[in-house]
Amino acid sequence: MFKSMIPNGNHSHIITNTIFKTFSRGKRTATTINAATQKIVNQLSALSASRKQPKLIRLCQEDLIKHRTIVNAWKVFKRQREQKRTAQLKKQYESIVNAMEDLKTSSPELFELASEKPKKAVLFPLEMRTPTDYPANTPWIYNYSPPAKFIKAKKPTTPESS
Amino acid sequence: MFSSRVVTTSKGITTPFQVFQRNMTRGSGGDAVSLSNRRVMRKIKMGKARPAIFYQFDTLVELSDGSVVKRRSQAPKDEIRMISDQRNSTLWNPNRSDIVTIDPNSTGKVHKFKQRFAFFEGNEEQSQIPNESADAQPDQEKIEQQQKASKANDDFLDLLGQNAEEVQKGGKLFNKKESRNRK
Amino acid sequence: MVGVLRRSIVRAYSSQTSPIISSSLLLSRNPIITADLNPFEAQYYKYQSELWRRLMWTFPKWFYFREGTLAEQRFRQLNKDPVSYNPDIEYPQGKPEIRHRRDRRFKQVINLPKTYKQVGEEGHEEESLTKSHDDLARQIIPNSRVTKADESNDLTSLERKLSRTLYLVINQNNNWVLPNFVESSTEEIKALHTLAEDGLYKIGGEKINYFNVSNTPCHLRINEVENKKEFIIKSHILSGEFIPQDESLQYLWLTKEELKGKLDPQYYYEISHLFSDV
Repeated sequence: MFKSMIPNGNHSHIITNTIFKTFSRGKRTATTINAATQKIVNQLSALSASRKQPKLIRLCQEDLIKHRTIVNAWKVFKRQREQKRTAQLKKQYESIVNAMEDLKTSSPELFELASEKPKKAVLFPLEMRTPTDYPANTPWIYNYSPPAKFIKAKKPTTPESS
Repeated sequence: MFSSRVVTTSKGITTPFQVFQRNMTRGSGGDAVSLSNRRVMRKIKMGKARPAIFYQFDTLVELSDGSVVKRRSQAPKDEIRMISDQRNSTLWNPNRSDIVTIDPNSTGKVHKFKQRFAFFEGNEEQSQIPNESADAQPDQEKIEQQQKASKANDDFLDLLGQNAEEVQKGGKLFNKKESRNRK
Repeated sequence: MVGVLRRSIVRAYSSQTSPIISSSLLLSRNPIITADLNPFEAQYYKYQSELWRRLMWTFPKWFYFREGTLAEQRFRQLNKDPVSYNPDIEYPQGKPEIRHRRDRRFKQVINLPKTYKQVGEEGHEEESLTKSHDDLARQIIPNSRVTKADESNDLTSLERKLSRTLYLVINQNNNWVLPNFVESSTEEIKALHTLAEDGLYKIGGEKINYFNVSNTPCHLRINEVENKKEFIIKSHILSGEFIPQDESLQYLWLTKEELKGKLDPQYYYEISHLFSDV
C-alpha cells in the first residue's frame, strides 16, 4: 500500500535526523524552546486579550432591575419620538399629494412644470454643513457673492438692464 | 502551515506524508516556531465572547473655521486641530472670497527655527529674501537676478577645476544599523 | 372616486371667480450646531458612556509610549501605578487585580501629557499676549453655544438659536405670514419654484445662497379671504443674508415654538406639520 505512493524511493535525500521526544512517566522534563518561539510567546502574553480585558460587570439583583428599567425607559422614549416623526412625515406626504392633485386640475401647465424631472441629478449643495458640537468663530457666512454666470443670466429680467 | 515529516520504518522504506500542525510557522533564520495549541487557540465557550472595546479618549477636534466636534478616539491625544479641511477648502466653498488658509509647512518647530535663524543660512536664502521683498520689480529683472545667482555658483566650481566635486554640507547622520554591524 | 372629487372641486370654484395661483416660500436655516439634549437623553448618554468606559480594555501604553522615551517619562509622571496586591494584607473591598498596571475591577482613568500651555500655568500670560489665534499649538477653547444674537434677542439675526431650524416670516398687513408671491404678467407661465425664487430676490436682495429642495410644492393652503391658492415651496438658506429691499418690510427668523406665538392660530395649525421640531 505504501509502495504505491512512493516513486522508486527517490526521496531518500529527504531523510533527516528527526528527534522524537521520549516521555517518561511522572517525570517532568524541562522543555527548551528556541529563541524565536520564546519571542512569540512573550509577544502573545503581552497582547493577550484576557490580560487587557476588564472584569465582567456583575450586577446584583437590584442593580439589574435598575439597569433594565433604564433601558426600557429609553426604548419607550425612542419609540414615542419615532412615532411622532412618522406621523409628521405621513402628514407631509399627504399634503404634497393633495397639493399636486389640486394643481393638476387648477393649472395643468404648472403641474407639468412642478412634476417634471430635472435633466441633471439634483445634488445636495457643497456648502451644506453638518452640525458641529460648538459653533465656528463666525457662526454664519454672510460673505456670499453669486457666481458671474448667474448674474448674467439674471440681468435681462431686471428692470435696470432692459 | 504544513511541515513534511519523513518516517523511517525498519525495512528502510521512507513514507513522506503531510502532517498538519496548528500554529507552526517557519522563522526567517530557519528555526521553526512551534507553540502549544493551548496557548493561542483557547476555545471561547458559548455566550462567553466579549467584544473588544479598545481604550478611547474623549477628544476635541477643532475644524479650520473654529467649530469644535467632540469625539472618541483611540489615539492618545485630547485635542486635534485641523489646518485644512472642508471648511476652508475652495473646492467646498465655491462662492466665498474670504477664506483664510494656513500654510501647512509653516507650522511646528522647524519653521520657528528657520524664522529666527534665517540670517545665518547660505546664499540661496539670502538671494531669495530680497526678491520676495521687492515684489514691485518686473518679472524680467527677477529672472535675470536668479540667473546671475546661479551663474555665480557655477563659477566657483569652475575655479576649482574639472574634477572638483561639491563637499557634502552638514554632518553625517548616525546610522544605527551600520554601527550595530560594526560591533 | 378621485374623478368625482375633482369634478366637485371644479364645480365649487366655477361658481365664483377662479382663485389666483400663488407660491409661498418656506425658507429655513438648518441647525448649525447639534441639538440640545433633554435631561433624560443627557442622563442616558452619560450612563451608557460610563458603562462603555468600564468595559474598555487596558490602554496599550507600550504601543503609544515607548519605554525610555521622554514622552513615556512624562506619561509616567501623570499616571501613578495602582496599589498592588499584597497577600499579607486583608482587603475588605475585594482584592486588587493588577494586570498591565491597571486594576481590572475598575475603569481606567488616564491623564495625557498636554501639548499646550494651560490657562493659569507658568509662562502662559506673557505668551498669550504675543501669540494670538495664529498659534497652532494653543489650547482648544470651544466657542459658546449661545451667541450674541441670543443674548440681545435679535429675532432678525441668522446667528440666533444655532441648534434649531429657523424659518423666515414677513409682516403683511399686521399679520406674520410666510412670504407669498403672485405672478404679475398673465401671459407668461412661470413654474412655482421660479416664481418663489424671483420673489425672494425681489424682497430680500440677491445675496442669498439657497437650495431649493424640489420643484414640487409641499403644501396647498387655500386662502379664502384673498381668494388665493398658496402653494408652498421648501428651500434652505446656505449662506448670505436676507436684506429687505423695501425699508418698511419687517421680517423675522423664528423657530417652530416662536412661530406658534407669532402666526395666526388658524394659519399656524394648517402648516404646523411642515416645521421641524429640531
